[in-house]
Amino acid sequence: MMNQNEIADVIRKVLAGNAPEFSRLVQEFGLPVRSFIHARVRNTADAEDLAQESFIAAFRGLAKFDTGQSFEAWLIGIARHRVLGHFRATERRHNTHLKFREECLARITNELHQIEEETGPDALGRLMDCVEKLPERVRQVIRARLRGEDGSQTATLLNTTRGAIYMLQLRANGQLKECLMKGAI
Amino acid sequence: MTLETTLAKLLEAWQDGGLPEAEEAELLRQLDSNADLRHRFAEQVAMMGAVRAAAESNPRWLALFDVLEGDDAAAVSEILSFEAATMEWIAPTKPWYTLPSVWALAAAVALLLAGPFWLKLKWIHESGNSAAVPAAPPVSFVAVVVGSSSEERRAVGSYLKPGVLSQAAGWLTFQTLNGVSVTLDAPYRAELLDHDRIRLDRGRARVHVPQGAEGFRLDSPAFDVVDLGTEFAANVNTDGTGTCRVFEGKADVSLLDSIGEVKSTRRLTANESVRVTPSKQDLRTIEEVNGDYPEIKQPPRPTLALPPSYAAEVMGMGPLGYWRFEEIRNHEVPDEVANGPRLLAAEAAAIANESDGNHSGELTAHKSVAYFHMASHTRPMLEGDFSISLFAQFEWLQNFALFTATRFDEEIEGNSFILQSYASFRRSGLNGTGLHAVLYDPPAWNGGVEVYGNTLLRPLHWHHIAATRRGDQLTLYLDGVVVGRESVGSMPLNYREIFVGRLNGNAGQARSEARGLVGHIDELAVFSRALTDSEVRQLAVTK
Repeated sequence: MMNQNEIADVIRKVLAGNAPEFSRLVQEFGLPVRSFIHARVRNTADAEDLAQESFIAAFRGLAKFDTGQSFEAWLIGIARHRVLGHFRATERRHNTHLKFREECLARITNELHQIEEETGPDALGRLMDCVEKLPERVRQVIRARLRGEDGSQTATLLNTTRGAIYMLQLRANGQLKECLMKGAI
Repeated sequence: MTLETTLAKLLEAWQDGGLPEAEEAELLRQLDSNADLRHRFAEQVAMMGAVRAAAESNPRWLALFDVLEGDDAAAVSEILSFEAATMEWIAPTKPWYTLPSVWALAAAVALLLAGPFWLKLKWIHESGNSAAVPAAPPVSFVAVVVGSSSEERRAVGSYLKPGVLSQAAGWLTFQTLNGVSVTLDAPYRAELLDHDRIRLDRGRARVHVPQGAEGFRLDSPAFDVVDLGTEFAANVNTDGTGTCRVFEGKADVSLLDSIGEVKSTRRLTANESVRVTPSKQDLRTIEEVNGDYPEIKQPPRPTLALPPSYAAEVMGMGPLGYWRFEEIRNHEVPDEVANGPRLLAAEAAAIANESDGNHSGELTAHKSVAYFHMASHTRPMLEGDFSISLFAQFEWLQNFALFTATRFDEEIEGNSFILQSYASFRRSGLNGTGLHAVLYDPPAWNGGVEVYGNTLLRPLHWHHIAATRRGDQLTLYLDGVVVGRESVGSMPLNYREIFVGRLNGNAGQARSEARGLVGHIDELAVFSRALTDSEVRQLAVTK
C-alpha cells in the first residue's frame, strides 16, 4: 500500500507533466472507489463509467488536492458526487426498483460508510482468496449473480427455490466478510 | 419474521425488486427502526459492491470461477482492465501501428506472405476447415441508420457514434441499439449523446420508445423530455422556444434555466402538448390537433431473400426437423421433415406476411408472451453431436434467448442449453454484441460451460445463426463465419423440450426476464449431427 509520501510524490510527477504516473493511483485506489460505486449503483456499466469519470475528474482537479489530506477520502468524495449526480439524472425515470434502492441507501448511509472505511483496500485485495474458499454451491450463486442472472434464474440453474438463493447469498456475504476481517472462513 | 428472513427479503428487493409496495414499505420501516438490521444490511450491500467491483475490474476474477469449476480456457481474457481503460482517457498511448517504420516492415512481410496466404485461404475455403475467429466489434456505436432521404449521405445500415447530426433538407431516421426510433426533420441540428439520450438544438424530432427502453431523454437548450414509455415529438426553434407533444403513453417535460437546472416539470399523457418560452421561464399546456411534428419515417423491414434451391439444400443435409414458418396450422408450424418434432406456436407467436412471399415467424409482441415450442419428446433430442441453423432478425439489440433446451426428469427441471444473442451497453456506447451459448450438465449443475462469439450484430437485419456440437467442441457461427469455438467437455445431454425465442414456457415470467426475442425467425433447422463449416456457410447464403 502506498504511503502518504509516495502518493504526494506521484502527484508531484503528474502535475509536472508525467500523466502516465497517474496509473499508479488508479491501480492503488481503483478497487475501493469502484467498490464504493458498485455498492450504490445497480447497473454495472453505469458503475464502471462513474468510476472512470471519478478518476478522470480527480486527474483534472489534481492541483486542488491538499497532499496533507487522505487521497482515498478525496477520491471517495469525488465518487460520491458522481453517484449523487447519477441518482439525480435518473430519479425522474420513476423506476420503482431504483427508488426503493435509493430509499434503502438513504437509511444505511452511515453504516455503509463506516463498514467501507473499516474494510480498506488491503482487505479488499484479499477478496479473491476468500471467494476461493467458499463452498462450491455458494460460489455458484455468486457467479450466477455476476453473470446477471436474477433470483429466479439462479434458482432454476441450481435447482432450488428463489428464497433459498437469497439465504445462500446472505451466507456467502457473511462468510466473505468474516474472511476479510479475520483471514479465514 | 426473524432478522435473517427480513435480511433475505431486503436482499431480494434490493437486487431484483418486484415486491408488493406494502412489503417494500414494511422493509423500509424496519430499516428505520432496527439498528442491527441496518448494520447487517449495510454489510451485505458493501460486500456485494466489493465482489462486483473485483469481478468486473479484473478478468482473472471471472477466470477464477472458471478455473475452480474446471474450465481453464476462460472467455474473459480480452476484457480491457479498468486501469488500462481509464489511463487511455488520461494519457492515451501512441499506437504502435502509427510508426512509419512498422508500416515499412509490415509491407515487406506482407509481400513475402501474400502468396502462401492465398494458397491457405483457398485450402480453407475448399476443405471446409474453420475460418479465423474475428476480433470483437468496435465499442463506440450507439445507433444505426434505418432510413433517410436522398439528401442524407449516411447509408441505411450504417452505425452512428455519439456526435453531431445536422441537415439542411430531408430527413433521417435512426434506431438506437436498444430500440428507440428517432426521426429528425430538416433543417435540424442535433447531437446524439448516447443510446438513451439526444440533444436537439433546433429542428423537429419524433421519438418512439419501446417497452424496456423507457427513460430515453431528449435535451434542448430550454427544456428536456424524459420518456416514460411513449411516442412523443418536439420542435425546437432557433430562439430556444419550442413545443412538445405526446402521442402515446406519457413523458415528463421540464423547463430548464440558463444553467440547465430544472425549474418546473409537467407530465404529459397522450394527445397533450406544451409550449416552452425560455425568456419568460414559461411552460404551459396548449391545445393543438396534431401540431407540426414529423412522422416516424421508416422503410419496411428487410425481407429474407433466399436462393430458390435453399429448402432443397437444407433437406439434402438430412435435418431432424426443418420449419420454414410459412404458416401456422392448428397452432403448429409445419415441419418439412415427415414425422419430425412438432413446433408449436405459443401465446402471441405469429407468422409475418412478408412482401416477397417468404413469410417468417414473428415474435414482436413487446408486452405479451410469444415463443415457439417443441413439446416433450418420447425420445431425447440432440444427445450427441448436433447442429442448429436459423435466420433471426432482432428489432433491437438485447440478450435474446434464441434456442433453449430443457431437461426434465425425477430430479432435474431447467435449461441445460441456451443459445442467445447478447448486447451490453455502456453510457459511452456499445460495450459488445455477439452470440453466447451456455451448456449446463444437469447432473452436476456445475455452473456450466460458456462459448462467446464476439461479433457485430445489427438490428433489423437478417442474420444467419448456427451452433454445432462435434464431440467436445461447440462452435458458434454468425452469417456463415465461425465467431466462437470452445471445448465444452463430454457432458451428457438429453434434451426433451425446446423453446425457440424464450428461455422457458413460464408465461408468468416477464419478457425481459425470460429473454424473450423481439424480432423474427425463419428457416429453423435442427440436425442430429455436426454440420461442417462449409455446410454452415451454404446455409447462410442469401440472394
